[in-house]
Amino acid sequence: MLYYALNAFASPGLATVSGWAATKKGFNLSASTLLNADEHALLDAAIAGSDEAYTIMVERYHSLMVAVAAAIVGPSLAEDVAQDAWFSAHRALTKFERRASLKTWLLRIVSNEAITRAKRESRHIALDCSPSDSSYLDDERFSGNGHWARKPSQWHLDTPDALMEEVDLHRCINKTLLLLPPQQRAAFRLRDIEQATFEDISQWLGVSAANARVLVHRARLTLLDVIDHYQETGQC
Amino acid sequence: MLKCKDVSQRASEYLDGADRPLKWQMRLHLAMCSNCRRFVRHLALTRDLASKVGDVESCSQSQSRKIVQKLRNKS
Repeated sequence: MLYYALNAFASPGLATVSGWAATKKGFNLSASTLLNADEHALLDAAIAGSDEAYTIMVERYHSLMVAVAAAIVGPSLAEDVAQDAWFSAHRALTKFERRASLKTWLLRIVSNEAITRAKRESRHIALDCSPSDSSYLDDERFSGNGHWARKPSQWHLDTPDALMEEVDLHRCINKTLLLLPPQQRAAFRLRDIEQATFEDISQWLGVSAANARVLVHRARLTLLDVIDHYQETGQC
Repeated sequence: MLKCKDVSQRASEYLDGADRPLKWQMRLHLAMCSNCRRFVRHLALTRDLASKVGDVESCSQSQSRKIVQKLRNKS
């Protein structure tokens, strides 16, 4: 019933209107209803002019869009680019064919916005595949013949359950995530938190799939180093 | 034959589902090398823990409302 009601407002005649005012008349769904609505219903409500639907979409995807923008254009312009991407998405919402998920579509838009902005501002963020502040695989780790010179240390917390109980360690991980270079941070988030494919990550970040893998690996190594240190010292 | 250093550099590729030749080379090496087994296990634990506890910044409702308001004003 709700779906049909929403579709009635998303009819082609109304849907081509880009602003809110023309479609919002008579449309009033509660935030809680929209929070539990599926993606199609949310999109239909947004097209019909619901501020709540837009707010929920922004809450869900904005920070991820900022992370992708930061990886391409740098952190200082990322917020601005993400907001421009919302404007582009808003204008194109009625043309969205829904073959991909809303998240995929939004990330493609923000990626394009960021690439365009990077060109316009002559900003080129060099691919940062360096281990950054990770010292786990430093030069002293391996001998000349490629074998471990300094072996991986034994962890006293070495099961998922034991690690899950260490609240201080979780803080260390989150602190480290914030300090990762933007490309590594975005790649890690897309892969390990959002479970995106490397093909998608490479497209969104404008890097090759091989480089996307390297970025994720570097991020994991930095986090591994943090856990290793915590196991030894009990501190970040 | 992979060396330990190669394993450390390609461990994520292995965990994420490597192509068949690399998968077998890694398995062969890991069967013989306890240090690399430990390293790969630690890397897998790291990935799994961080994916669960990684508190990615989210956009608050008040921030979201501001962005929507800007969008409304701009359109």
